[in-house]
Amino acid sequence: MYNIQKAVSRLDFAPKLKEIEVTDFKKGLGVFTPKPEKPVSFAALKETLNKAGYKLAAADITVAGKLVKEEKGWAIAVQQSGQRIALAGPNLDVVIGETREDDNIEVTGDWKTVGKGSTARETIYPPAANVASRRAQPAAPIFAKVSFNDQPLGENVVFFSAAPAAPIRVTSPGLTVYKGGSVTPRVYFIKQHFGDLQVHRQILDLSVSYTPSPRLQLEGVVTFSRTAYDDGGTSGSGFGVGNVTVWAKYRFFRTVETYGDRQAALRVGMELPTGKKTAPSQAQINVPDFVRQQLTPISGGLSPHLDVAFSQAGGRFIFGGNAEAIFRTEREGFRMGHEQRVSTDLEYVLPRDPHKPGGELFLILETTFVHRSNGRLDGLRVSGSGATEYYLAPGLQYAAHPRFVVEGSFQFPVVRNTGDLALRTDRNILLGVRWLF
Amino acid sequence: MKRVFAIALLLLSSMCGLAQSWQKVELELRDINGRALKLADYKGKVLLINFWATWCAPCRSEIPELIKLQSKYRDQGLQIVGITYPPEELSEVQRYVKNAKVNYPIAIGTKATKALFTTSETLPITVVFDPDGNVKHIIEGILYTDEFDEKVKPLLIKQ
Repeated sequence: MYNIQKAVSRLDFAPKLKEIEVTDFKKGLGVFTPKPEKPVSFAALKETLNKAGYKLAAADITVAGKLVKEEKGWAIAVQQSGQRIALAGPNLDVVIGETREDDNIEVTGDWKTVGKGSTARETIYPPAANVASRRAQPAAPIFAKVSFNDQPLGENVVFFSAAPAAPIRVTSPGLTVYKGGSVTPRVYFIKQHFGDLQVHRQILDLSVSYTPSPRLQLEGVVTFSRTAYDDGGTSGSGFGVGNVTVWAKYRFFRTVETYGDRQAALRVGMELPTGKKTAPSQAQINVPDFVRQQLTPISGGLSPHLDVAFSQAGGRFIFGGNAEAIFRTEREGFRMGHEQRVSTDLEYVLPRDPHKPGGELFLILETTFVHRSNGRLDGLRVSGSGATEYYLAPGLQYAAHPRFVVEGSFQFPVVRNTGDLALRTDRNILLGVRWLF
Repeated sequence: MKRVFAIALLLLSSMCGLAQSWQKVELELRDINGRALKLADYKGKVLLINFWATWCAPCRSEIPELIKLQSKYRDQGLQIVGITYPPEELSEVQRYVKNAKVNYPIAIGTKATKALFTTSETLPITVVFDPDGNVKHIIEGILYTDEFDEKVKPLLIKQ
């Protein structure tokens, strides 16, 4: 792929070689952000790739600018380059909608150069489903983002990580495959205790995400939980579905530089009150009410999550972190305390064969600081139910294939300052796979 | 046996570091017609060793330009030598060289041959030697004209 990057980087409007990102080796997908002050040309992109031995199959472009009316139709005027890019195609009316002339607009679509020589004109054909348009907003940064799809005829490629590298427990600011998604089933084996009471949980988290645009990812997570408890005298177990959580992640910052990819994202989630709320009865297990409530798969009712994540790659190292806040509401009088989490992630990548993607092994060390305030039961604050904890979690992630990842992580507490009524977590083993589509 | 030799060569190169000059490299190759090809024979020339493969699309795109450069700058001391990167079939290489009318020597190389000069995984890759045999530049990817003008031309005999 080095040759693709090198060829594209020679274009006037292209960024530096290392800022041209190959996002999918197998499909030959790449992405770059053109210099905003230079006019772009699909024909030039096609020609430069052709000279390097590649055939450009298609390219998408995202352009932001002012909507202008021309003799032959609508166009976007890009302020910095002064270039006007025509808008065409059957979905144009839907795309423009109620946007008026001189309003700011951002359009994504199939990119072509129509005509030749002096009559050549860059044109975007937006598909109805993949269009972002803005109206009457403050002037947005003017940019154009291109993704190209080449058809390599066989090349010995330089390694350029296309693996879906991500931290395991820490929120990744990265997105999965553009216009694609991922399925991530994960199993957690958690051991907790409360005095003599031993609690073993097996939790299956099933996450499905979709990335409709280069900045946005949507995700849904459903949890299935089995909890077994034993205080030496009595024992029992329960199974239930946990709360469903829906997420939207917006990557607001990204640079691809010589020293690595750097990105940041804001993630908001809503935990829906769908989980099983019935706790074991006092007759089943003789512990305080608040402790019994913690044996259910839920931590409360409707709960908004707010999460900011950052990561930076540098050579074979990747480091990142996230800060998350969870605001819990009560479900039938019960909720755990509001929670703040700060996590960090350090990864080291070991490629199996630098000639081709797949087979990378990620050595991962994650840390999590959790502070949870006191919870509530029967509408009353329960003192001694909060906790402040710090965990370490070494893990391994193996990209068996550019689109298939296996991962495992062992989390254990280093500092555990828990209240009298909070279950204490002794270990948390995670095993999971991730499949990108 | 071949593999053992290649691994030994590779180990040797990694122990010694990458070759900074062809004078320090015990490299004897056979060209596609079976003739011995020694880098020492090119002493006094500006030598470009171009690692390539018939299965590498950018390499194939680059070769017509290399042919032109060899013709144009031969009298100014330019000598290009192509070394293939595996997997290659000798017959396939011979057919390609004949059809493309390559006007410089082509030898069959191994992974270890390339590893003597560079750890880069990119193909094509061109190693530029000055007339004394010192490595001056390693150009990853296709050698574009402006790179040739900047990195190779100043080494050639001025006419």
